[in-house]
Formats: sequence, C-alpha cells, structure tokens
Amino acid sequence: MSVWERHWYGDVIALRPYLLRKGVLVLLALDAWLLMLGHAGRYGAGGFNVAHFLWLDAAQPLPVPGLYIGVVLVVGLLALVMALVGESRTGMAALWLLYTYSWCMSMLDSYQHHYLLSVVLFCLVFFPPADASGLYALSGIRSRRPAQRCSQPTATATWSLRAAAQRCSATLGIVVGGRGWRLATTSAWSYRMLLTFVGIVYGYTALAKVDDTWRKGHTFRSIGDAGRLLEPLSVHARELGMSSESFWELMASSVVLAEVLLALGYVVVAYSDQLERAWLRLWCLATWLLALGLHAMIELIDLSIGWFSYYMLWAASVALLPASWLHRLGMAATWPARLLQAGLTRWEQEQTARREGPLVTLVLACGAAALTVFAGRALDLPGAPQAALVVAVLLLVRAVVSARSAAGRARLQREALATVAAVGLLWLSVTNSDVRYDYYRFVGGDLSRRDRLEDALSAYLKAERYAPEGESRKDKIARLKRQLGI
Amino acid sequence: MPKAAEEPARLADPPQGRARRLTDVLIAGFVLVQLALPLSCYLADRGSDERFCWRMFSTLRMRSCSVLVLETRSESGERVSRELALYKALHSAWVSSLKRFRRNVVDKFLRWRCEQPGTTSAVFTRSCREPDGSEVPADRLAIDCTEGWIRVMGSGR
Repeated sequence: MSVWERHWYGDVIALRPYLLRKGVLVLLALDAWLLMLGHAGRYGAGGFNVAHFLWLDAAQPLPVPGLYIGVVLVVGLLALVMALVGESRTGMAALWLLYTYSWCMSMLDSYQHHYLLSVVLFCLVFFPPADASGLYALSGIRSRRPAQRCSQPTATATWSLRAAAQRCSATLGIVVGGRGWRLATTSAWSYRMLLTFVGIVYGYTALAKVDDTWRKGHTFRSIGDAGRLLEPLSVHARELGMSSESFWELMASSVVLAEVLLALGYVVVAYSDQLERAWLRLWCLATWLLALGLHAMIELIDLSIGWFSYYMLWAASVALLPASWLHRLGMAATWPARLLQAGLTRWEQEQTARREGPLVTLVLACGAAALTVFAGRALDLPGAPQAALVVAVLLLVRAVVSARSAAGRARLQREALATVAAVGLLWLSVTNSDVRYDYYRFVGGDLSRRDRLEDALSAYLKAERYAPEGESRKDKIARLKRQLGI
Repeated sequence: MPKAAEEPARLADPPQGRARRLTDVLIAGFVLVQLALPLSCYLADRGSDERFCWRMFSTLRMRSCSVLVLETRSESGERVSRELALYKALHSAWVSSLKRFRRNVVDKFLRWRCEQPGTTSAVFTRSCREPDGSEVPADRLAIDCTEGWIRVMGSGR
C-alpha cells in the first residue's frame, strides 16, 4: 500500500464512522428544532435579505419565516429518521443540500459552525453503510493477548524499574487498547476526510490568533465571560508573582497551543486503528482530554456559538477514544435498537408469510402521514403545516412506490415508524422549550422597533401564550395597547 | 508480540478501478478546497469578510463598532439630509451585519435604500475600536442613486 492508500483507505474500526454519523444526526435534529427555529422571525423582515452567494440572491424568492421554519423542520425530521432507520446515500445528500440551503439563504445565519456542519454532512454522504446488529454480530472478544502474560514479572526482575515499566505498559495497553476485542473494521475514506477537515479547522483557528492583540490577551479577555470567569485565576497568579498582562498572555497562548496540538492529533488518529501501538492510543487519549478541556472552557465562558462544542466533542470522542471503550458504550447505547431491529425483522417475516405486507405498509404510512400533518398544524409556527404536508405526501408516495417489493415495504415500514418517533420528539422538543415563545417575542420586538404596532401586538399576544414562568410580556402588551388606543 | 489468532472482520472494502480513481480525485479536491478557501482570507483582500475562514473570535470580529447612515432625500423640491433610524428601517440582525462591514450586505443595503421613494443619495460610515481600545480609521461608502455605483470614501483596514 502506498502512503496515500494507507492514509485514506486503511482500516478503521467500523464503530467509529457508525457512531459519528448517528451522533451528528441526532444532535443536528435537536439543534435545528431547539436553536434555529426561534430566530426564524428575522427572515424577510422589512423586505430585505442578502444571501450568502450572489447567484442565490438572484435565484430565490425573499426568504420568509415560513420558508425557513419549513426547511429547518424537514432537516430535523430527515436527520432523525435516518439516525433511527439507517442512512441512504440519497437521503444524506438531500439532508446535506437542505441543511446547506437553510444557512445559505441569508447572511442572517453566518454561524461558522453551520458551514462546518455542511462540510461534515457532505462527508457523511459517503460513509460506508452499517447497522448496529451487523456491527456487533461481527465483533466480539478474541483470545487473550500475549501482552497479558507479560504482566507477570520474571523472578529476577520483580522489583526492577524495567519490570515496573513492562507492567505499566501491559496494563496501559489493556486499559487503552482493550482486552483483545475483535472489532469489525471497514474502509472509510470519507471518515478520514472528515477527520482531516476537523484537523484543518483547528489549524486555521490557531492561525487566526497569530496577531499581537490576541497574543497579548486583549481579545481573549473580552470574549464572552472569559474576563470575569478567569479573574480569580488571574488574582491567584498575581499572588504568585505573575503580572496580569503575563497571565492573560499565557492564557491566550495556551489556546493557540491547544488548537495546534488538536490539529496534529487529528492527523495522527488516522493511524491509531491500523497500527495498534500503545503510544499512539495514549497520544489520542491525551488529544481527547485536550479537546474536552478546550471545549469545556468554551462552554463555560459562554461564547454563544450554539452546540458547536458538543459536535466537536462528539467527533473527538468517537475518533480519539480507545475502540474498546466505544465498543462497550456502543453496545449499551445500541441495545434497544438491536432488540427492536430483531423484533421488526421477525414481524416483517410474519407479514410476508401472511401476505399482509402491502396493507400493513399502507396503514403505517397513512398513520405516520396523518400524525405528521396533525403535529404540523398544532405546532403553531408559520411554515410548519406546509412542511408537515410535504413530509406526509412524500411518505405516501414512497409507500405506493415501495409496496411492490418485500425489501421496499420493510424499509418503508421502518421509515414510517421512525417518522412517528421523530415527530413525537419534535413535538416534545418544541412544546417543552422556549422555541415558540422566543419566535413570537423576537418578532414582536422587531415589529415594535419598526413601528408596526398592530402586528407587534399580535406577536406578543402569541408569545404570552408560551411565556415561561416569570417571562411574561404583559407590560409590553399593555404599552402597545395604550399606543394603539385600545 | 505475536499476532492475534483471529483477524477482525471487514465490513467494506476500498473502492477499486474507476471508482478508486474518482474517489482519489474527490479526496484531493476536497482537501485542496478546505486548505485553500481559508487561506484566501490571508492571501487575498477579502476585507471584513471572514466567512469560511475559521477565524472564530478574531481581532477583526472583536472590534466594537457603530454605524451611521446619512440619507439625502428629495422633499418638496428640496434636498434634505438626515440620519436614517437604522433600527426602524432594518431588523437588528442586519444592523449587526452592517457593523461588521459585511461588504455585500452594505452594498445591497445602500442600493435598497436607493429604491425607497425620494432617496437621492446615502453615505454609510462605520467607526470601530480595537479590543485594546485603539481607534480604527472609519470605513465610509457613498452611493448616488442616479448613477447607481458605490464609492469608497474611507477604508478602516
């Protein structure tokens, strides 16, 4: 194998791309519903919009809240259904296009991590197919490694440093490498592409900080809550004889160093599964700890960057943690899915025997479609009923097309059940969060500022319906009514 | 250390033949684009446009800025200049984009103002301070609605 082939096509523990894709899809669905929907009211406000690309500005109609909400709802549903049922290349490509459009349509959404997710989704399109049952059927415990026999020191070297080092190395090898797990591997060039991309991102984030203002700590001190949160440390450092300026310089430089090391870590990790060296695994584990530290700090200082850290931590955990740890974690996490998959397979076989397949498929599809339409109307957000109708119609069309073959019916039945679960989670997410309250109060605030008082009042009255405890907008409503002479 | 008795099962093999060549091209293209696009922020003059550059919380981003738009309108045969109430004309999120001097947003905004009845010209000024408190020269753009093109009268970089 050439260097190129070894780097891109070498074996990867199959669990890694599998878990990465599942985790990203679930996070994406919840991110879309919980964080993106609330800001939909700004789209098309005042009749002004600038798309990210000139050609899109010319091609698309003015984005309005209904369009944005519709796109985001479908993104979430599609992501979650694929996470539950298994991903098709067409489905992933559709998700990538739809999600990318959700931020491309307007420069109102200039979150860099949304662009990052578009690139991640692009890579996910080409991930190798896998399902939990197949993965765990091919994995298991192989015979104990000779390394464990090395942990017994020789009689002459019992208390020597060399014996202690041998014991440590063997123990670490077992702890970090696992006790001889036979884990299924796969060729996953797009997974490696994704890791390379993450490494490039860290590299460039480090490069962006190579300027005097960052190096001296001015920028770091002024972002989020960094100044306030790290002030006690700064005081402690002063007591130890370090000046405030030196402290902030040190903190700022540490961030750059962490990002450089993370970039390197994502290069090295490409070989950790292939080469099975304890030092490589330790390096990956250290990189993971660094990622944990950096992103935990980012969350603590509240940089208002959505769930960027959670995505990065998920990627770090899947790519950098020992495969044996992931195997155990994945075994527990996928147990319900594997159980359900086995049950569904048996049920599908019974249907085929009783020739009930087409009827069951149609009933499930109609039920899922009806539930989707009902939920869309009940969400009380512009664009939701229309998006729900589109999803329902697609499901029914697929039901008619898929009913002809047993495999198609089986797939469609699982998709229908997954749609029901996804719609249920959508409902729970939106109704148990401040999404609708935020949407209507932001709309009300903007309309008030632009002197559209009647529309502002309508928006605030709706927001009041969903206002959490202590967040009532009664005062604003009363003021608007006075201004309108009501 | 002796090899383990059983080799792990493999789920998928690498692509072969034509598929392999296409995949190699895709990989190379992807990596090149991911390296080159952010690099353009450092090598080309992209102004305040840091999109796709992975410049999170750069010094440019952390500048504290304010914007002022002076509009000249034709009212009862006279030309009257007044400051535009930005938060009444635009959603606050767009005002933030103007403060960040997103050039395509500023340009489109000025042209959009020219579409409003009576507007004959507009001058956009953005003033900023660096995180260390030092002032940055103001960015200033002007549009004449009859001509339609935008002049750069001052640059803050």
